[in-house]
Amino acid sequence: MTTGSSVALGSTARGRLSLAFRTVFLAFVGFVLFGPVVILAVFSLNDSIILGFPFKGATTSWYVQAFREPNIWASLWTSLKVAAVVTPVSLLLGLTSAIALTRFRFRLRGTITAFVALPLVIPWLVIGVGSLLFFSATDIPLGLFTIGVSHVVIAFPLATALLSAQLYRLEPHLHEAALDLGATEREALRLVVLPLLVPTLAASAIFVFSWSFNNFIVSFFTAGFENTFPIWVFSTLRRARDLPMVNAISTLVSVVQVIVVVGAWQALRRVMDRRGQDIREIVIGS
Amino acid sequence: MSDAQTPAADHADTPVLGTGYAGKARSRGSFSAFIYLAGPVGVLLLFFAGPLGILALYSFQERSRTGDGSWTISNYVNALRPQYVETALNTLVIAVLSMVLLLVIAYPLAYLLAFKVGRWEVPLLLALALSDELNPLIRIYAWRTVLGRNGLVNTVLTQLRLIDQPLDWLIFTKFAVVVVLTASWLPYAVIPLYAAMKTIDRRVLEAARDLGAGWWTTFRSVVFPLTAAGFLATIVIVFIPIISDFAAPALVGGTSGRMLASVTEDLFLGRGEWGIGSALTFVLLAASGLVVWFSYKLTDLSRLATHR
Amino acid sequence: MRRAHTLTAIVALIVAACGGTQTTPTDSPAPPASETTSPQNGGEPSGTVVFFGYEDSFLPEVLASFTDETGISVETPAFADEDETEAKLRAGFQADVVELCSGEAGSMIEAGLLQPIDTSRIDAWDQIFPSFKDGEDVVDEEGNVWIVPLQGGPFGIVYLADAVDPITSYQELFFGDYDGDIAVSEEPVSTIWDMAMALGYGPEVDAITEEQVVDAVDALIANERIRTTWSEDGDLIQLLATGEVVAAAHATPDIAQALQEEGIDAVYVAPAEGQILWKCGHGISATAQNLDGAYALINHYLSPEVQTTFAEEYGYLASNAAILEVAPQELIDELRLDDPGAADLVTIPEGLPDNEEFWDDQWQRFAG
Repeated sequence: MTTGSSVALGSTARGRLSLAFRTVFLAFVGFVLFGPVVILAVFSLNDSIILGFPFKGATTSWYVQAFREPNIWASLWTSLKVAAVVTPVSLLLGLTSAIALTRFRFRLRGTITAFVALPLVIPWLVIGVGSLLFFSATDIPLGLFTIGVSHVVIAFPLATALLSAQLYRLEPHLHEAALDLGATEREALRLVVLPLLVPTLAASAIFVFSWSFNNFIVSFFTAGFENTFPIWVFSTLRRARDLPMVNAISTLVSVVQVIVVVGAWQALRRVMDRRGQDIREIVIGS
Repeated sequence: MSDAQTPAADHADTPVLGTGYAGKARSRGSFSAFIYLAGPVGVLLLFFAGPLGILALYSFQERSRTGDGSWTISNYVNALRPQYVETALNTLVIAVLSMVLLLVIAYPLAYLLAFKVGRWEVPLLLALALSDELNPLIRIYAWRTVLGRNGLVNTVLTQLRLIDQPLDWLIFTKFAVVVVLTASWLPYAVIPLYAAMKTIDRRVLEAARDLGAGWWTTFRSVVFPLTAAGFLATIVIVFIPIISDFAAPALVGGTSGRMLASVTEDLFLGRGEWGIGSALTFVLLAASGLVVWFSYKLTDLSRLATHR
Repeated sequence: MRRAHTLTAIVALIVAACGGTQTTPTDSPAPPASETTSPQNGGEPSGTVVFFGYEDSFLPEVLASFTDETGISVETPAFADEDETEAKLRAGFQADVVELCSGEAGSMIEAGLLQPIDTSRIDAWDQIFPSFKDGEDVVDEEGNVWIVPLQGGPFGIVYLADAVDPITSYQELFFGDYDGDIAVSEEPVSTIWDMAMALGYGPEVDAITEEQVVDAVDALIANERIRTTWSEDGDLIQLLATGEVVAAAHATPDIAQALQEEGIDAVYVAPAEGQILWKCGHGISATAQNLDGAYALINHYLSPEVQTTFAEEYGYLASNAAILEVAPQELIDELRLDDPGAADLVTIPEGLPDNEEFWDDQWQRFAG
């Protein structure tokens, strides 16, 4: 538990001012982060194709229209399929690279670390365009495979980073103790290290899945026939008459995502609490 | 301990300081590393280095619509012409302003999250991380309803009688682009700083206050040095996407808020100039690299070499 | 230490790149993903045809009736704009029918992405209005046909009648004396062309000289009325509806119509300098797998019934004169379907100037 500030808030003028200032600041940040989304949600119920005041009247017709649009469900399904494959692959690559980079010593370690970290800092526009040119030059047809592969490239380094951070923090002696007690390398990994990594793996899974599902820029360039949901959103935005419907379904998908992620996070937290770990370690470890 | 028969002999006696634990004989380490890294590095070499390589390649070739692939340096010469340089400077101004605004907001926010919000810490963190995944493409449209001529800000200001005429410069200007970029990247800027702040012992801060330091002094001599790693991480994670953003300038930038990435996107898609586009992309990357390097210099080097 | 490793990483990249292949993107098409098996000429159309087009063109009832009649199913990847089309095609994206607009196809023809159309296989070719066949990328100098025109419409000025007095020419739009800002198209050629017409040049795009282009761009840079550029119809409708701008150049009648449906008094006007007539239709990709299916689809879209559907849905002009026998009279009158090239409309064919790159280049001065 963190110790509180030595000056009890609210009991002095300065404390009250500080609290007020703090609240205003947080409210401002809250508006900046969530204001647009809330505004969009409000307008998704507006009986007008104009995304602006005045508010014409409430209606759920845009949601109804969205439900009836087959392209939406096809693209959502595609996004889900891609994310569902990309996530385990990214986790596997992330795990193996994290283990290798933190546990073994070899000459190229620094270089390879930098290399694996590179996709995190190269702009997605560059990766997207480069991938398009690459697939074109190598005659690889654009489609779910190319989308998936490009997602894996940008996402697994994130898993590597999160897992490496956690591996650094793990008591080295646990691993050595296991070996001393007669475990083989693989047993030590499987029975000691891996179980300790489960929370971080779960958290990585959440992040990677979100990144893949919501990804637009890279997918835009590497997609073939089948659209992912963000691509469908982008290509339908151009038609004014469809803007409210796009808004409606996009808002709905966001709400579902919030529910799912919060739910997953809560479950993860409960698991970690039972193990006596702090869920914040996942973030702080980096 | 060195009995070759037991598995315990597989690791050397002395662990290496400051680089995590790695009690392995060097040759064994290399082999295992190879097995583990074959997948990840293979994937990256093929599908990451490959694309970047092709871009690099094309940047030195004639790759317009009728280009034949012959070698040339003209792409880079073209990429450095006055029109593009002007846009580049514009981009730099916008990116730096956004970065500054981001840091100004992110530091206090990270501080609050790390020390001052008690049990709200995890929910707020989660909210922060989630905010980026909501309505990603359409979110920018919503900014028009906030910053527009008849938008939220203008309406409020008019109602409060602070202005008679709606403010024109809130949107379709550099200002709008800075605002939207800052809002979009705030979560990514806060999290590394938050992580770094969690490593500061509260008592150090209390000591600073007890010694009479004001907030700026505390920041300058305590917080910033101790969170230098977070600062660098923020810059690296956020500056590069900002400098290569094309959605914000397109939707709220108007004609004065245009950025280099819009030009690059235009070159690739609009004009089929894959050669010049690639060259410009690398110029952009080089610029980002410079900024990162500069920030690296700004923070204490030795602090980063020994990962705690 | 960290720095050195990043540098090593970059060097490794470059080394990897130098080993890359050198094939140009338009070589060897990607292997087919569709299940079509029909031979290239003759034979019954069957299987699947890939129709790469705008989302608007995929009217469900039209596609359904096509599949019912012919048994061919249609794959419909959509694109948001032509630039994306070209980029994707150049990268080997496999399609059969590609939706194209006159004025944009030139670059794709140059890049070898399309194949000439065999007009003997187009049932209604001779019934297409002559003005629709106007344009180098529709039928080029050597008689090659690249696009089968299907729809068309005029470009002009849209303004908010509540906010300003009638604006009837580009000159007035750019230089007139009224309160309010305007939006211009983000397409370089379109906007430079509009300004050039306002300055008295043209009106055909090929009649505009390089000095005139520079003049037009200078005028655009100096113009204080231009608040922003707009990218798609949706964008412009939002801009006008929220009062950000009071008028726009290079707009179409359906924008005014959409606004009126929302209770906003927007008016479309044909500029005194002239309306530019856009034409869109279908082309066939150079790497088409199902040629029979492609022609069948094109014929379907060209049929008067389908043309009527599009006219009713979007208010576009139709290319097939046979529509006059099939469409209801009110529609014909309302949209003036009887002759898209009618004398008093002063229509100018949309097209791209030969020196398009020069225009693009100059545009950077304005937009940068």
